[in-house]
Amino acid sequence: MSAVISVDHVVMNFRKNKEKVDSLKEYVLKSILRKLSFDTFTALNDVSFEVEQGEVMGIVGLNGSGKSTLLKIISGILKPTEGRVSVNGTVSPLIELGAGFDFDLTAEENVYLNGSVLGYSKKEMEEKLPEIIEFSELSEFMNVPIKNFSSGMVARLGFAIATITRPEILIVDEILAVGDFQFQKKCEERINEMMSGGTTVIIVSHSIDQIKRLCDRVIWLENGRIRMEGACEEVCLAYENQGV
Amino acid sequence: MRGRIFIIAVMGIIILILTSVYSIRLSSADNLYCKSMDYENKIIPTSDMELENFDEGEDGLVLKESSSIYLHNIDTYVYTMRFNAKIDSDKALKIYYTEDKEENFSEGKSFEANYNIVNGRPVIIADRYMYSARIDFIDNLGTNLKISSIELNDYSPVIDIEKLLAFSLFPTMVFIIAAAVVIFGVKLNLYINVFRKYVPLISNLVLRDLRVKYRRSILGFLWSILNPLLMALIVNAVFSHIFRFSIDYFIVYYLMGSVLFNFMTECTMGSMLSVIYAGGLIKKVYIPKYIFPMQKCMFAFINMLFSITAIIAMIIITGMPVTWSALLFPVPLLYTAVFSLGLGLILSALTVFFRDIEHLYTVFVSAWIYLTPVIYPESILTDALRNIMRLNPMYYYVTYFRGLVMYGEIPGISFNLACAAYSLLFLILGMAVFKKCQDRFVLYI
Repeated sequence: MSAVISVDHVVMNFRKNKEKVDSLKEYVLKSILRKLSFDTFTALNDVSFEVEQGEVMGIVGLNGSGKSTLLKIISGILKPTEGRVSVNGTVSPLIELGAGFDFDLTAEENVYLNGSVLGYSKKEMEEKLPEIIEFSELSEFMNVPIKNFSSGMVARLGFAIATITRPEILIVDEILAVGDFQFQKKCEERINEMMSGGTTVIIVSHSIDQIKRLCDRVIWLENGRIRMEGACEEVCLAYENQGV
Repeated sequence: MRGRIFIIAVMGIIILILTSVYSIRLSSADNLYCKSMDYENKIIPTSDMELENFDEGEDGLVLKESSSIYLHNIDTYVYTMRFNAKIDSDKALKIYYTEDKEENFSEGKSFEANYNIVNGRPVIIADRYMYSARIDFIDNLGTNLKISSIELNDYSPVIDIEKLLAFSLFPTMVFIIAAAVVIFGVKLNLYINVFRKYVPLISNLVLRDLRVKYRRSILGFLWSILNPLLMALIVNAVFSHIFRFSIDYFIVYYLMGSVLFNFMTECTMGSMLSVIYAGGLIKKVYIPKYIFPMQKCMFAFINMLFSITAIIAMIIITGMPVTWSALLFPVPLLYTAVFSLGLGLILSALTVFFRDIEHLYTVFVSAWIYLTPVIYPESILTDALRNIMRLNPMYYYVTYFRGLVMYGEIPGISFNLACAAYSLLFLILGMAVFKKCQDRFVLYI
């Protein structure tokens, strides 16, 4: 087994501008008056780990512990301040479902648009269209602009598109919390199915039950550092018992 | 990597300096003014000339078969003779001269001279002492001549900006590109593959923009054609009657300039905000960010193609004669597109950090259109202003475009290289600025 994702001593600093400077005028004025100052906020501090092929890695932690930042770095949205991240394979990030949906367009048009956002050609999407319709259970609504959709319907469509293309790496951020329990179950089945097909998955969730059901290994982040890393049961137990 | 980029930059600057020294020398080698500096400078206004055999046309003087201009009492060594005039002819002149007050003009003291066009004015080299002179226009039947003065031995220093761009900036840009290909050569394949992967995204985004633009109006695509046509009619009504510019087919002249300039504006303005508007996507998915300005430029390009229909319509309506050279019209469009993409990349990157660039740029563009011969003819400018205008990239593209379609002129090598130099300069600058900034976009959107 080889490491598909390796995160090597990653540090992520954000600048906390006391007063946000976003115009040239302010910038010039303030640099003349020497009022430009920045505080830095360290969201991730020296985080290293590796994920191997076919593994399902869970990330747990309290709000503000750096989970989403870590996922954004892995999916290439953010560049780390220090350290290196190497990812071998196609990534389908589900940071938020339906990224790039245009709400004025119909569901079918959005399938192609969202597919191209994830880097798939029209032809590939045409082949997958029936499967997407079937999975999202939206066959009656494919010609409806999605501004008329409920949030659950949008989530279903988004999940269907992101997972239908069999990415080599799937990154899931908290999205399994949307939709009813039936759809959540369906999503979990889909993830299980993908795992058996060799897809590497990283999941962030506040639902410990979900993590326990799906993951092989878990990382516990606290204030931007890895507090604990190990087998699922062990870490989940420690996480649940913290502060008790 | 940083060290190597630094070395390239330093070498680029050295090449730029060396080649500009060379090209200034090159342009002064054929610069007639250099030698004229040694002789007396004299301006002879039309009132001191004796004009023979001219007809008064509605547009200045009309030459006939035996038209001549007499210049009396020159009494100086004449190296160059510059006509502050517009002569619609490139035929040779025959010049008779005398060296003495008592002498008559004779075949023995005469020579034929061709025009050299320097800074848009015809200049001939005489290189001899003259007491008086007679200038004969041979074979110039029925051409227009508008002359304000003849200047002898003018030595106003000239730096030919076009040559500077063509023989200095262009080779520097070529060097930088070659060096970049050598350095990034290994990664080049990777970049191309990533770009290929996102081609469908670009076409989808362009389609989406087109749908949004045209879905909501009944006239749809027709608007893109009607809009410039109506504008041209208004400008034509105002300018051709109030200012009486001496341009044939003024409406086509204006339309060509404005369509090209508007294309550049639409590209850059669209690109400028494209990254900010795509913030939602950039925060959620990894997408190469240059996709967004690039897509806006393609969208603007498609819109421009509609406007070109308006130009064609106007050419047909006015019955303007068109030569085969007009078929080369995509060349200036390509130069403009590359230039606009580069400028768009710079603007889109900077606007993420400084939002007020949007307002500054809007003001800048409205000044820029007056520094480009869109609405007025180049000939109304003074030489100094004209030289400043040669720094303006849009000047070259607009002139190129009009030259091909309206006057059947195919620009020469140095003009083409000057166009390419600006396009490449901005493309390289744009790519460099964008690449340097793009990782921080997501933090500022």
